[in-house]
Amino acid sequence: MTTDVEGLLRRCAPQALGAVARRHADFAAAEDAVQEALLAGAQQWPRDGVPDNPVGWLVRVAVRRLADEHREVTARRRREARVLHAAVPDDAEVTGLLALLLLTEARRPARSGPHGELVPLAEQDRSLWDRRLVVEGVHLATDALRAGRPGEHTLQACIAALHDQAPSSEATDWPQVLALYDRLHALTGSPVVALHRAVALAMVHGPARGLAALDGVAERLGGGHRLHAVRAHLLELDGRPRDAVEAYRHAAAAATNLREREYLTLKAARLT
Amino acid sequence: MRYMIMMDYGGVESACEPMDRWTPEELQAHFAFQAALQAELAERGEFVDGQGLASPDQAKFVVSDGVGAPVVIDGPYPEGKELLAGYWLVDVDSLDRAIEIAARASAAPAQGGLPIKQRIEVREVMSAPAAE
Repeated sequence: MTTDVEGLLRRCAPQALGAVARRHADFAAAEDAVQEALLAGAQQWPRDGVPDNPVGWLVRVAVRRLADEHREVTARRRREARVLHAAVPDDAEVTGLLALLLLTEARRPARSGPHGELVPLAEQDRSLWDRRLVVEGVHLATDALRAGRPGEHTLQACIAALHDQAPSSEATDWPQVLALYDRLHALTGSPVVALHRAVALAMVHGPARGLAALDGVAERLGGGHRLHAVRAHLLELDGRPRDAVEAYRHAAAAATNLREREYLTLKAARLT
Repeated sequence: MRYMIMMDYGGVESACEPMDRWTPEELQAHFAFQAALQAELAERGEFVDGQGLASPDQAKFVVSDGVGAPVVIDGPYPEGKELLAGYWLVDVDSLDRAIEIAARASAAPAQGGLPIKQRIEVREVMSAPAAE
């Protein structure tokens, strides 16, 4: 007896579409993804047998297709940045932006652990970084900087380039990173930049200097967990685990991202 | 059928201490368990939505008569009522399946790797009336 695969697919389609559409804001995209899953089922089920949970199978394939599309969107944004750069190759900030996108994308494979947990830059497995993107990003960042009068994107790209070229956090050219943050902060006055600058300051001149640089940033940031998280990290480097634990706990309580909260909770536990 | 599966900050029936007393390994096992359970629900097409909420310190309680300025009280709730920590919204074939999912979540590993035995609320989400 052969299963009527077509009939089964037709019966499963509405439930699969319902499940995928409820989870995905774009209904048209959900429809397309489920359509592709039905086509895949029509090809594979007669060959491999009907799965135990046919609706689940269709939903899984459709969701994977939607995830691939998201990656395509990110890739498309990079392509558009490339096209823009090709159109105005002498525009340093456009070049800097492209460099920044590439250098950030290069690190993506190392950003999450096996269970989706957050892995910060200092702890990432750098062998997972995409070498080709690093090389290209560094090249473009250098071009952009060479044009003179670097803007925000170019400075960010150069900082990213220094990180991406370093074999480890310890081996990073922190004095250069600090110099770039000095320029970026002078240019933008951004409190978030001030926060990152404090970390670089700590890496060059010691945690006490970094902690001192955090004074005055709190009001400018208007709350949020990042200040607590940076303070906690610097307190830990400064050999003050009890104060660091308290700061990590504050940061965890103020976190609005689940992965960040889990990470900060773990950091507190590791020091306890 | 859709069900809300809700966890609050109370209702822990095992002897385990609050999370700030757990070891890193115990925390990692707990977080990994949650991530794996959610991934499994997604695989089965049962996962609709699921969120962890910000800590009770960040809660705001709002009462308004629609006329004057609303009264806004900062969390945590003064009378110590247990606040929602997180939820899953699942689309399943039966109440039994929703209970099965809640039971899995209730037994998440905690201190010593022992099940946390947290009380979890399961309630059906009201659906639209059947078409006439």
